[in-house]
Amino acid sequence: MPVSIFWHFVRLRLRERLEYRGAFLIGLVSQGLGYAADFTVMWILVHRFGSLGGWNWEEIAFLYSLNLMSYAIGAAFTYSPMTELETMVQRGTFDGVLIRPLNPYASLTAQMFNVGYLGHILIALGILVWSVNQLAIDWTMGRVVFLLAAIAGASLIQAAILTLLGAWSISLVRAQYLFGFAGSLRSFVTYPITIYATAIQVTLTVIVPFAFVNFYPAAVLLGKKGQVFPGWVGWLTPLVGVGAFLLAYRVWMRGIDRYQGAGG
Amino acid sequence: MTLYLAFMMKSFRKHLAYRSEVWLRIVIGVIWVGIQVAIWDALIGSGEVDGISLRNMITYAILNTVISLSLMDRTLSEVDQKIRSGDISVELIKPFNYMLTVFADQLGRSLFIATFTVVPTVAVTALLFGFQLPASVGHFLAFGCAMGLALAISFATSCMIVMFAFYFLATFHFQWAMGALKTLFAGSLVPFWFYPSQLRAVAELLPFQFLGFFPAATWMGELPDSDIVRQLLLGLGWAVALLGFCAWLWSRITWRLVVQGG
Repeated sequence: MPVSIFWHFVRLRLRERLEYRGAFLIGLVSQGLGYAADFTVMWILVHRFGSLGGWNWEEIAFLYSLNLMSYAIGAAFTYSPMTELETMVQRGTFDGVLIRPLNPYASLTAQMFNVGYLGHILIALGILVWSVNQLAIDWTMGRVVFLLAAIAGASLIQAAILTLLGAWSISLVRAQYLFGFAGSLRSFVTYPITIYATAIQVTLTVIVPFAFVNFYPAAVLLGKKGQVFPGWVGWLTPLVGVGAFLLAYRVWMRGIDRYQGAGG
Repeated sequence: MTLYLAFMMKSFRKHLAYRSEVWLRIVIGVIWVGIQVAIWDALIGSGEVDGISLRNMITYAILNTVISLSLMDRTLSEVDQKIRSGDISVELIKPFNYMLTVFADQLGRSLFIATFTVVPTVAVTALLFGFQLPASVGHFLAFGCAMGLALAISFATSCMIVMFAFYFLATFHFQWAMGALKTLFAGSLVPFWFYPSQLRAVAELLPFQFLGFFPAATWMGELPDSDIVRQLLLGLGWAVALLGFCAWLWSRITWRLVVQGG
């Protein structure tokens, strides 16, 4: 599907949603409150103890902002289509997507783009800018480019995991609760993974690569050590993102190939 | 009364049908406890902070995880959908109090969770990480009272949000805002004894402490007896006030209800 059509769909969706400006703004404020509370509790914890696993408050905030930012970008495109896929399959509306002369994955992710995540992105950006200002990182051109590429890669990882769950819900009819499970796995990386046992670190790196979402890129930029895998794997974040996404995309498309409709 | 009891038992049996969800809830519960154990291990290690050891915090984490699981705050989606679709009108012409049936339904769910999720989750996490029994029989009884308050308060707060849906036609924002208050003032993740003193003073006046900190701290015997009695009375006051407010709101709503379309 041509990229211009993809963005055209996203733009249409944005304009449709922003018609309800009041609801959008109230949503933004209430989400902001939710994250502020989350953030305050973490602040209380880290402030009381000085640091967590050798990471100080600014570094934890940096970690938090990378996770939230990449999740918001990835989920803005994939969360709605992947969670609603189950209902679409049951109602038969999914068949309508398949008979269009467009790539079903691209048209779904563009058409069901979720504007609500813009609020998350703004909040994450605020925390990111604040924490980067506090941290003593020597910002060379290369590091700036790496940070941007890492955020892109991290967003692809988040999108890949949601896509994989979506692929599951095509074949398994009740897969809704898997999204809750993925959410609880994601909460591992709210904190530096060095506080977990080796088996968990390996799982978060190799099997469900959530550690690449924030920990590894942050560890590279901050020069952190102590993890099971060597520090340089952090540089691979953009590649891991592309790889994970392509894999999830292939699995999703294969799921579509085998899709037979929910009967009726 | 027997009618509502029947609703409760029906809800209990309904939940028996979703066995895979039970497994998943246990797994999520164990993971969540595991994360918290790792955090407290990194923060406290083998020492003590403010007289609190890692062993204490593990118990606190297990208790809070299962308390959150058993709260009666899942009322929202079902009632919310009925308000949107207008099906609520059918519920209102039936010869019983709709909100009481919702309460009975939720109580049945909590009973189910207590038997099939809380017990196995506590057993698994106790084996993996260790778990302290209640400080004394008296503390255990006080914990029971505190859990009664937790159920009542969680039901009342989620009912309030649902009822706002009649006025504002959307509950999403209120859910987020209420979630924020709970995160900050229930103390589920970080107990109040690590809070800055002014924040702790505020938290100890609000009803959210009964959804996390207070029952857990009571179980562990970390509060003086006089504090337990005082807070239980405060909680009773909050429960009565919140439930009373809900009942009043409900009576107003049923008078002014206009179903869209239909």
